[in-house]
Amino acid sequence: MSADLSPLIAATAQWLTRAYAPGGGALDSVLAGAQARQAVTVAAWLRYPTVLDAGLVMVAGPGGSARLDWLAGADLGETDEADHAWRTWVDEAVASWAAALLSDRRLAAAAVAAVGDSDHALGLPVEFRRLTAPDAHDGRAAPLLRHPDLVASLAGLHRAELLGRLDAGHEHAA
Amino acid sequence: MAERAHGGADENVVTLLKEQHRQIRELFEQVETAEGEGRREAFRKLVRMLAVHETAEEEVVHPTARRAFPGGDRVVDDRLREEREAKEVLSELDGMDVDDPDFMPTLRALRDDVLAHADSEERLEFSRLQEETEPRMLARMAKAVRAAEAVAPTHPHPGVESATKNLVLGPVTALVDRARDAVRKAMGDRH
Repeated sequence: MSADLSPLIAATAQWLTRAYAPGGGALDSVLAGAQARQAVTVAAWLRYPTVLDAGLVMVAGPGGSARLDWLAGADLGETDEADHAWRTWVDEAVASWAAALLSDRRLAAAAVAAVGDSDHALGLPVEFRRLTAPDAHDGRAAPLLRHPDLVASLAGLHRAELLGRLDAGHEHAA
Repeated sequence: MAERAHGGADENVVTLLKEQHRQIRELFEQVETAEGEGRREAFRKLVRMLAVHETAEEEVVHPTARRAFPGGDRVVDDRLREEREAKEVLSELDGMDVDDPDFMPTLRALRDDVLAHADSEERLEFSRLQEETEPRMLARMAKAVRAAEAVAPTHPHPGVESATKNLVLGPVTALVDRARDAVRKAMGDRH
């Protein structure tokens, strides 16, 4: 869990939880955020597997949320500086991969297995239970974010690259 | 002087988590002493702190503790059961308004459960983890907990100065892919 990617991860997770509103209360909001953050973490580790990859994207910049906002139909109009700031750290492909993982339990399990020995895990046996085995509270907190039909257009944006990455990892391990 | 969480490279995860337990205790006090909108705001902070803290423990700390000492599995399973029970009460509270007459008695029940759970973690899990784990790994775990709890940046990426530029820079990921491929190719050529 390299802290190097954490601005990208936190911003992209925030974009997901704002685009797919959580259930009602404070607890739902934070539980939806935790699931999004775990999905985005796994997606970012897959997308930028080495310290070198992470370093490059952090220098070049993750691209920002502009196209995602447009696709999501969000009319942001004149955003203030604070709202603009975090959106510059959003990574479109990572958001798309995370949406695919949140809406497909089998894909999530494969992705978590693929990042088990990632450089970013720092040699720790990390677990992403809220992503791979959400309990009843988690499910109620993020009904939109986990709905395959509702995230289909976002997940579809970069799905082929995600499946390709998982297949390549599988072949490499075999 | 008491050891404090400081966020440096040699930070110890046990120190960091104990500091968070202290903050949780303080937030309970704030909810109890505040009134009206102040209580509502303090409760929102408490809920966020509890969920973020437990998620990071579950992600980073418990998996290592399970493997770190004999009986680790059972100690962690007991802590997870306590967390689940506390979450049921928290969920019940989350559905109530802070002015509801049942709110404060339920909050006090939650406080007792959460503080007993934190005490068990410190005595039965963290102390053994600290004894059985190298300082280097305790520092890595602290870094991982901090990453798991990070909030979205409040400053823009240094390469992006305006909202318009953000739009223009949309396809920058493709640039990163090309740079990465070029570097890989260069490195591969040397092998």
